[in-house]
Amino acid sequence: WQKYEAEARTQAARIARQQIRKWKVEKEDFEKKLSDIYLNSLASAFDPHSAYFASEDKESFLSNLSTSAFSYGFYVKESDEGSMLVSILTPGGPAWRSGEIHSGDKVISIQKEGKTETDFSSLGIEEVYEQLMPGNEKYMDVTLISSNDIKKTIRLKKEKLKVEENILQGYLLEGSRKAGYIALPDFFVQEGSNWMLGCANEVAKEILKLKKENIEGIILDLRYNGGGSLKEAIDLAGLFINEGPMMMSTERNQKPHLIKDLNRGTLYDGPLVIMINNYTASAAEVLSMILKDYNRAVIIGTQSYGKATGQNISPLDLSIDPVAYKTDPQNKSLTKFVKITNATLFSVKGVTYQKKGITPDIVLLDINNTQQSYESQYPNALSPDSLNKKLLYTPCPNLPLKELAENSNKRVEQSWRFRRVKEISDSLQKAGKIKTVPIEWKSFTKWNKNADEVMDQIDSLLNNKEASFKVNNNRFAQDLISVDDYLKEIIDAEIKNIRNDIYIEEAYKTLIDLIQITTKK
Amino acid sequence: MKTKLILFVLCIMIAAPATLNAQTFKTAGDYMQNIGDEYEKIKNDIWDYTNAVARGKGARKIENKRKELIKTVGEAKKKIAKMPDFEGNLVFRDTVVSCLQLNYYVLSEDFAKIVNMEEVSEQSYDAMEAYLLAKEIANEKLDMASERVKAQQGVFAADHNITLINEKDKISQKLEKAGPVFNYYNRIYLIYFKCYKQEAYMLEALQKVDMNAVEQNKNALISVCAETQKKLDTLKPFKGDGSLKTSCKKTVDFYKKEAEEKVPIQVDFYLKKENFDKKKAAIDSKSQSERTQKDVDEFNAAVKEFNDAVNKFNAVNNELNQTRTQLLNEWNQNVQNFLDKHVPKKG
Repeated sequence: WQKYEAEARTQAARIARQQIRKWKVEKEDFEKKLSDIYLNSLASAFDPHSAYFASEDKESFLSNLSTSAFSYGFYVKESDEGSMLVSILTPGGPAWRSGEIHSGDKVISIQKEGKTETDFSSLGIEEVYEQLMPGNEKYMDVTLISSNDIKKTIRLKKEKLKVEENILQGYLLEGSRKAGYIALPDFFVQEGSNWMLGCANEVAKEILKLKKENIEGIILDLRYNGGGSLKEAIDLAGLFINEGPMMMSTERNQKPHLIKDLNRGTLYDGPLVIMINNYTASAAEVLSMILKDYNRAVIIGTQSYGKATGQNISPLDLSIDPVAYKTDPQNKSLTKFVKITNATLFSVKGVTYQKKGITPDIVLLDINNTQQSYESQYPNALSPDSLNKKLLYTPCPNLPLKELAENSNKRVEQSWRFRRVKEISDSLQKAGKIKTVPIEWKSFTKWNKNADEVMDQIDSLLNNKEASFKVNNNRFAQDLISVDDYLKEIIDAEIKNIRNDIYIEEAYKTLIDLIQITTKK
Repeated sequence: MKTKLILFVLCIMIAAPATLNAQTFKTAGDYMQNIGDEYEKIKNDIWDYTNAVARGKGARKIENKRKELIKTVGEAKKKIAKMPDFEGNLVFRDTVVSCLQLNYYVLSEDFAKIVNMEEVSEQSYDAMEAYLLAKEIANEKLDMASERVKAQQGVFAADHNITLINEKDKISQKLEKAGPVFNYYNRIYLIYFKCYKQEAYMLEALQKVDMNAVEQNKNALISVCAETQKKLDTLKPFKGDGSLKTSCKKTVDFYKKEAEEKVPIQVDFYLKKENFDKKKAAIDSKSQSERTQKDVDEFNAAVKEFNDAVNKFNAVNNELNQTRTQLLNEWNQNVQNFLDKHVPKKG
């Protein structure tokens, strides 16, 4: 241990100095930091989803729900020696087009318009990510040392670039049946779209492309989808449901508000499986709830998060003209916002899933969330209510859920991977209850090694080499990747993840069962 | 918008009391005659309005006639409401006033005063369905009110020894003949309009390039057209005149073919366009030195394919627009001819 003690002490000291340095700022900045923390604590005391935003936080929050966000177009990684190296450049982005920044360059410092220089040598990777996040500035000067030891400073203007996480792609799962697979990361809207089109329109396009490949069923993956635009969730449900009421919402001192499918007809009326897990929340739960109420889809996975409330973001200053704000969002006077919980959501049956979540029709143990987090764990989360109002709606015929669940359970029991998932999950749950960590060196290395070994086992368990299907691109994507190497990289990585995922495998097999039972072939 | 106006006219016709021939008790007769005189004015205005619609008068003239009718009903209601009781009996008067009030609301399309619009809205798919449902419920209430007037008229006449004679003057006879014409027209119009509206939704979605809405509305259009074609197959011509049925069928067949064969071409175009734009952006982001011959060849092939798709898209659009306009003009002309032919002339 002596070998590592000196290095560990240096590292610990560096981290402590970083923490202190964060607070060692100009008086004005310090007071602003403190008031931001206080106001956010005040907001979140009401319920876990109310929050206070300074404008850069709002920008960051909204960019996660958009297909494009301001960026300088490069990412960094931390080397073994603690230097910050440029890792990826977004093709066509500001850093890429400058021709002066390359993968492997060492970033020394940055200086944003109107701010002091920030030296990266004393920052950890998390702080560097924070610093690189665009704020209200128009440009940033990046000082770096290239791989051939030349020091230079490059000015980059921030631009709107695609948010890679919010780019949708439909894949073909080709085994004994041909299925479509789409993963939806969140319910994003498309900024700049005059008609407020968002992810529902994108999913629609992907399904149209998949239909050209003669798919027999679709898997829509909502795992890790934390929600977003409620309108997009309703529009997306409408894709699969002919017409009718979708859900209700209530606000204080107002009558329940009925939300309907705005478009008659369906885009896809074939077999449908929805994947959810503990991180499926809010708008994603709304979609699952609607499809479940209408008997339109089989829901597979784990209990969802349990957030059935809606929030609004408004400027804190009520005198601000919303029209003026929309035309000049860069107005520096508009710096404070608040996200407030203003609605509770109910199904067509008048029932809410608040603090309960959506229960899947087929339950699979999820190794990735043994540290489960639910809405119900927050002491100040809104309590579920009920609505004494039922709506007339026409659900689809009942799905053969019992038979599908029995088939799935048999497969899971016979699968060595899922059996091992259960064993590891049980032992992790047991370990999670133990709140002590040994500090004696030998015991600690053993404890740490055990944890690493478990993670390796989990990784290999979830690396499904016996997948019963091949994952392929639809013809539109295939056409595109012939000229777009960057997209090809992203898609190839995604194809590998899909093929390795044992949960997608089980969803695929459930879909095959559904196709066979409903079409009797 | 002619249709909905005609429906209201028919409802008022039901409520018009029969003429009377007072036998005794001149004062009770005068009482009833006073009410009858107001109804006479309403009937004349109904006829003027019906005639304007049937003869294809301009929209402004028709609207003016409608407003005159509403005004006449309103004034009649006020006058009758000011009448005193007759020998302590206010029931007849109040029943007439209540019916006229309902007529007034229906003519003014102020359905919220008659119908629970919240319930109507919940049960309806869109504003047009809500409107039609509200109108249907309002007309049902109007029918019931008219029956009450008839009943009270009978009671009042019986109580005062008055014999009611059902003698129809020329205008009443003409209105009676016009009724079935408008009933037939309304029946076809409603099924025509459902398809028309569904196509409008689809076209709106195409304009927005909302692929989700395009596909949903396209599939809904195919369903509603198939339903309509079945209904039309069982609908008989009106007194040998099948012009409206034929015109409606032509339009519905066009919508169905549009949805099944042409819209997929348009949707395909938008998908190809998006792919082409992405391909172009990918090639543009490469410097000249980074572009391979394969990239150049691929892109040139993509340009050709896209240009072909554009030409096909434009040809489809032009064809659809022309046919749609032609069919709409035909329909409007056929409606006018039909009403002009079958609704009795003035004079």
